[in-house]
Amino acid sequence: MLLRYAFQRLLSAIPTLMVMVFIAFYLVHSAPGGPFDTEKVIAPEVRANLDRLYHLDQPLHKQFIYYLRSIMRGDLGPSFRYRDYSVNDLIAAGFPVSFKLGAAAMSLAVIIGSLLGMFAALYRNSVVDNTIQLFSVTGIAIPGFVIAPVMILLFSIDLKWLPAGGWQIGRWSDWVLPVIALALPQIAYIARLMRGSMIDVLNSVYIRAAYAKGLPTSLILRRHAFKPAFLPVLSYLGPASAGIITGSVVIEQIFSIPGIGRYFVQGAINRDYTLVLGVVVVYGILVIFANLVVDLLYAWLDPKVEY
Amino acid sequence: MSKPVDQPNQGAVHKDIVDFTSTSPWSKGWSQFSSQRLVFISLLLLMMIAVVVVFGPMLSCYDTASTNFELILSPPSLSNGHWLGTDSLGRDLYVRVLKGGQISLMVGLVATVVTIGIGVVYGTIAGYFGGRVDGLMMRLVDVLYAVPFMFFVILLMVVFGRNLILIFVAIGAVNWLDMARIVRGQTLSIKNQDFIAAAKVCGLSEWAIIRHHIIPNLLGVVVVYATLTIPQVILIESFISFLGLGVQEPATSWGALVNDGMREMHRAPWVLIVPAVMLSITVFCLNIIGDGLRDLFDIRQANV
Repeated sequence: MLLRYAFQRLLSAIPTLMVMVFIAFYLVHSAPGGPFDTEKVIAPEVRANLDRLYHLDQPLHKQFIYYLRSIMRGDLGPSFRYRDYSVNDLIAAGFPVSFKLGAAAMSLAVIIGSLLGMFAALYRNSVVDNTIQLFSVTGIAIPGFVIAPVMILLFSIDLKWLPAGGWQIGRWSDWVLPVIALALPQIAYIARLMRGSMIDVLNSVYIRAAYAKGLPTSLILRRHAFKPAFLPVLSYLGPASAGIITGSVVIEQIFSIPGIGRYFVQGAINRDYTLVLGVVVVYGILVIFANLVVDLLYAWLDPKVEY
Repeated sequence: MSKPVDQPNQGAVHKDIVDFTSTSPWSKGWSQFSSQRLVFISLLLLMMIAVVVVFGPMLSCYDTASTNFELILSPPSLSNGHWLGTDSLGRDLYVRVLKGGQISLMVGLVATVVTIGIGVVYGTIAGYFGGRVDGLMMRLVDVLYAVPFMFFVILLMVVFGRNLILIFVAIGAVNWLDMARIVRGQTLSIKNQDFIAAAKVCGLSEWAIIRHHIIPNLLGVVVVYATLTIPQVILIESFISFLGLGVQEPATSWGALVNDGMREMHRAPWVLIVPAVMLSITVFCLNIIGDGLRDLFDIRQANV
């Protein structure tokens, strides 16, 4: 049953992805200027040849069909700006970095966020709770691109504890600031969600029964309270992954991390059509996949869900 | 801590850890009072920020654009009139931060109006007509939820160049999904009430019912969620401006100023700190006020 549901959802992801590619394709191509508008004037014959090579002389809908066909084959096309590189090369080089960064931030956000929320709910209206709540309202209000430079100022420039940017293999200290900057808003939000749902769960009758039975608090939390309280957090993880991906566009720029986020803005400004579309396709697949995984986990964890 | 008398059977071991019933009257009263106090302080702070942002630039003799290469990155000082110092081009930071605030707040308000407009119309139609229309419309919303929208805002900005009106429309076009869901949920619960049936019996057309009976009753929810939308919108705008795709020089906004400040932060940290603090405090206050209003009206998100 679950497998059939997964299959159905996977099928319904295809039109979503198509719509995304369609919108992005027409948006990028309707921008004024093109990839070969450089300072240096190119001879018209050369220009015509280039246009022909990349199918830019064809009507737009034909170009779209060309593009769709090549994506189906798994080919994202050549980059217009980074000569000699295909978009596949660029993304293959940058994606592992972006993915590790995002996955680290996501795991940190889920673990710390739900722990904080749980403690806040357990010690409701105490100093602990108030501190956590203050932290989470503040964390939601301060965006990543503000917290990142402030952290660099503090920990890299003043205290000189951590590097201000860069990404060298095997140097763990490069990870600390970007991962925290990326995770912090999500930690704040998840903590808040978890607190609310945990309070609801702790007030329910079956938890009171568990206490009446004499179970210790830690066991009640682990065995009875955590799973239902985690469900709202779980359903937030789809949007959270989109948030982390969007955030990584600026965080990669701030910390000069060689991921694929920086290609997006630069590519869009340079009219590097294929590169921008490639990033949209990869990120689109990632977000859709994250949503799918979340829905499946939800269906698996919550016995009330029918599919 | 005094315990309510009607709960005699509570386990003595863990009563200090988990409180099954409501909290004691004292702590409840205190938490309500303190949360209201926080809302009140936020409201005051926000009003102060608004007043300073609107009228503050008039007090200074500088403007946003004029440069002074004698005084590049000069620290805050009272004597030369650059109360918050200058930036890397010798422009007065005080005026720039406040003028940038005008843009940020204005974008927040206008884009929220766009968001509300789209969300209310969409949500009411889906909720009121129900059935297949509703299923189809909400299915579309579900599909759109899966799309990383910031990317499309960025593409829109690149394609159509940077202008303020586009920012309003782009953000509104991206942000209406939540509003549509909430409005739809509320409409569903309103449309089954007796006064709607009465209106139908009186022979009112469906549009008249929507306009005169449904939408006015949505007002409370919409106002609450609008106050929660404003900070989101301000953050989106500052994100775009931070990437250098938002407002255009010499006009500026808090996001663009944070970006400027980041370039100079090792030499002149105040250029970063001032706009960063202003942006964060404003968003913080707006969030607190929105949450307070929501608690006051006791509205839960009408999700799924």
